[in-house]
Amino acid sequence: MRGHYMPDIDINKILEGAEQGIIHLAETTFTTYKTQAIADGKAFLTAAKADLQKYTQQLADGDITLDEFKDLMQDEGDLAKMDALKEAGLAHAAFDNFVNGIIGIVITAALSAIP
Amino acid sequence: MSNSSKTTLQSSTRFSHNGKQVRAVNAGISRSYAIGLFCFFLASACSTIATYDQVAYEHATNAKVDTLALMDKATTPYGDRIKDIEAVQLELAKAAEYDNGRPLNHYTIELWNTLRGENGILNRFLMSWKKSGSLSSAFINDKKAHVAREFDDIIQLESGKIKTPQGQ
Repeated sequence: MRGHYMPDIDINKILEGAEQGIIHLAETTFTTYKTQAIADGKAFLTAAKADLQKYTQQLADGDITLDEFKDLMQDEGDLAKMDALKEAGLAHAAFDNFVNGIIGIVITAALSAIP
Repeated sequence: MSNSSKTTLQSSTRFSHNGKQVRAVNAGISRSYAIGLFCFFLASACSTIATYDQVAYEHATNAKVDTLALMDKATTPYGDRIKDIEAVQLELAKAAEYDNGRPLNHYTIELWNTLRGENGILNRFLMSWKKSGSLSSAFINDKKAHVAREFDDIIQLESGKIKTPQGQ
């Protein structure tokens, strides 16, 4: 800690404020996808909650600068994108595995039917 | 009919009977091969993502270790670490290029593009380091956690791909 003692950050208060901001942003940006956008925004907040609390505390304690705090929060977007890409790739691998399993079953069934 | 004629007829009938059996067995084998080949091509055609590649996995794990080790050095002046930075950037470029050449590897390629992106997590870290000269341990550790997560996404996707005898 660089500066004097700072009280613990109230993460729930931050989340409530952010959530209101997300709802407002979704309402002013989307019409059709508003509900989905709000749900996505809340999911993002939940995923970033631990980091948000940690970095806000570090900023309050003077361990990181405001620019560093902003940089770390910007990272969260990339991390969410990377997680989504990984999950999509793993879903494809699982699908391929399933199809290969079906083909194995078909081969066994076909061969066993040949006298 | 003479005895010799009977024998010839019997042997001819037996030969003809055996011929039918051989033809039937051959047809069965051909059918099995045809079904096997059909299923093989069906399986190949149904692949939606590249299979596991041990070399790609090793590239990613090695690059992760070297990148995080480089980030630890950011408490020292950027100018003193130019060679180390260039070495890691080259290692990352090689790893990404290897994955770039593999078919059906869209997701891994996109993961590398994000990790190595001009405005990505790692590059912004290097830019901050260059701009500031050196960085605080707290910031370095926070950024290391993020970069490690990015590498983990690449590594976990690779290890989640279907393993084949050729890929291992």
